[in-house]
Amino acid sequence: MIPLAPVEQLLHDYEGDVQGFGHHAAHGELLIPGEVLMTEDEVLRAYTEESRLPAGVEQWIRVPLHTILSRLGATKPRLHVNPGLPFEAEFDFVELADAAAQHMRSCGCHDRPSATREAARWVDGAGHRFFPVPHRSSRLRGCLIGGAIGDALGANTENLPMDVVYERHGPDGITDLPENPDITDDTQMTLFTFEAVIRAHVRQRITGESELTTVTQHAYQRWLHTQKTPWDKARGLHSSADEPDGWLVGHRDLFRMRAPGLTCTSALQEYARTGDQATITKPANNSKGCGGAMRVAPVALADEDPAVVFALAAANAALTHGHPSGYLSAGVFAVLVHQLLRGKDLLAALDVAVGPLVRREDHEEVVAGIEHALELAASGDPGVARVEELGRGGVGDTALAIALYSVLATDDPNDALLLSVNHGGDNDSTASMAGNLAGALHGVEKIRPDWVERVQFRPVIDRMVADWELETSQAAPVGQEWFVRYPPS
Amino acid sequence: MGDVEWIRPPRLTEVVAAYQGFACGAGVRTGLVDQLVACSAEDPLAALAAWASNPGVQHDLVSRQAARGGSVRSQGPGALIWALPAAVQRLDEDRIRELVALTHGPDSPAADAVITLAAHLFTPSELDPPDADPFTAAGALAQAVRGEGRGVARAVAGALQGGPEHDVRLVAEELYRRSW
Repeated sequence: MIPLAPVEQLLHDYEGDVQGFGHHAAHGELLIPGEVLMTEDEVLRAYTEESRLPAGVEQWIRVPLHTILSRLGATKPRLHVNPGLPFEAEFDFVELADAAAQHMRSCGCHDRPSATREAARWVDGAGHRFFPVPHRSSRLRGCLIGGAIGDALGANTENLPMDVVYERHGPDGITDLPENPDITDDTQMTLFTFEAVIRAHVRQRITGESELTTVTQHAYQRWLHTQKTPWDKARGLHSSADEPDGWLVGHRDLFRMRAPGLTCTSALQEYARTGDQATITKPANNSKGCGGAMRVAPVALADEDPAVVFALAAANAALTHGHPSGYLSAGVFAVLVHQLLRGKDLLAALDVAVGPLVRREDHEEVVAGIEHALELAASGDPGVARVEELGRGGVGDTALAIALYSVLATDDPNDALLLSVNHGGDNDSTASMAGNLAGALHGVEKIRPDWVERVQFRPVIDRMVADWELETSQAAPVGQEWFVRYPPS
Repeated sequence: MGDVEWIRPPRLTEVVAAYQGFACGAGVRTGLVDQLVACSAEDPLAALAAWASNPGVQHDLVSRQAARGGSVRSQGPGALIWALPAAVQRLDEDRIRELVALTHGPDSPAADAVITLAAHLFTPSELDPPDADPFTAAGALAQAVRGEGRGVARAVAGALQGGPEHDVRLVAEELYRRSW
């Protein structure tokens, strides 16, 4: 028989007595599944003991009742403990908070620093980490899931003329995800970029050293390994690791050739061979392909300062693309995402992104693409002809222009995705970038739920978003399992 | 630095036609017309600062950022806007370069194209600029002469051809009066 958890004892003792329960259970601990915090339900479901958690729950936080009342009461008016289970009880937050407040006043615990810190430090006997998944991730999920959806929308028609697309999909072109909504190299590399951002944050947290670009180089070498390059040929001269590390590369579905860009693979192979990291001043090549820009959305998370984000994204793209239009378009794109995640509208975001752009040498081509997109968006009548006037999206400046145009020309992220994918160029990349922007602008809730549900790697994205939130929270893990999951290199 | 060889002062009708043509050619890029108004002001620096601090749409992105301060060095097409007030006022090359520096930075390669356009704008001579990347002032000028391109090139093409009635005529008339 399971011994009663303290809160269960209190629920038993004060059954039907909210005042009594609130007064005595303020320090009692409840378990909240991470997924619960991501829903819009008005009822917060919590559990008294780990064995009572619903099947399939992988992430949860152990929180004292007074923390629940102070932090979550405003967004979820009711608390339901052990729904459908023993010791079930449902409370109105206001009523319960009032009861708990009486205790907090008499106890003085509310003023003790430990009361506010305690939620950040729990580790159970098995080494589990407990963490909250806050609501602020909607735009970030929208950005990354939107990008994956765009990528999957265009996965089977990349660089096919629209005549062929019409033949295959009908007179409206692409209108839905394919039966197998698999992503391509765009999302693969975006995931490795995101992993690098998390690992760089871990590195900075434990060493004080800020070095995203090198960490990203290593991440891309792991991606290269997933593209049928043996690890000893992919890892680079500076690595002696016997095998690629970290959680992400363990996903076997990543080990698929999904039309990887030759510019990327050849530049990464060159790094593996020489150990020389390409930079803006020591370029890998003279390519302005869109492969530098399509992967950098997560760089938006790397810093508060948009100018720093611009520089980091440009340096990221320069690892594989040496032409200014290749890496400057990446800088603009990351700053757009950075601003959209902060709630700005797209024109305001663009205003910020153009600032660092025009201060860089050889910005003119990227500026021209942006101005062209703005001009076409203001001209109305969105459609294939407008998109194709902007180019084929194969290079950074036109891919950025098409993504920007698609999101500006519509006020619905799903329409933006379809607009950005229906053209005869590099449509998985343009739609991926448009999806990043539209998702960050509108949030994941505005994207078609069936697309969100079906797109490949959505659970991986959700998990990484949750991990990012944890890594950047006050409860950032310090256990070995986290550093195995996200090694700081 | 040399002087532009001004053959004769422009007539008011030519100035108005050029300004109206620019506005017509700009089309949805109405911000370019607002910028032309600022560039035609008695104190362009102050006028550009005021222009850049107000909400705007479809402007030249480079000029907008430069007018807000900070270092910019660009050869973008937006610099060509300076050719209109420069030609009306028959400015010398040094002054034109100073003005171009306000929006495109000192020593901007765009200044040469601006001077070429300004010197030609109110003359009957044929303009035959060399081809260049269309995202530069030189390239946009070449496109404008051929009646091609978009954005600034289209607006400049309008200025070369003249255009129908537009409120910007008042700015042109005021600048013309001030130039005497």
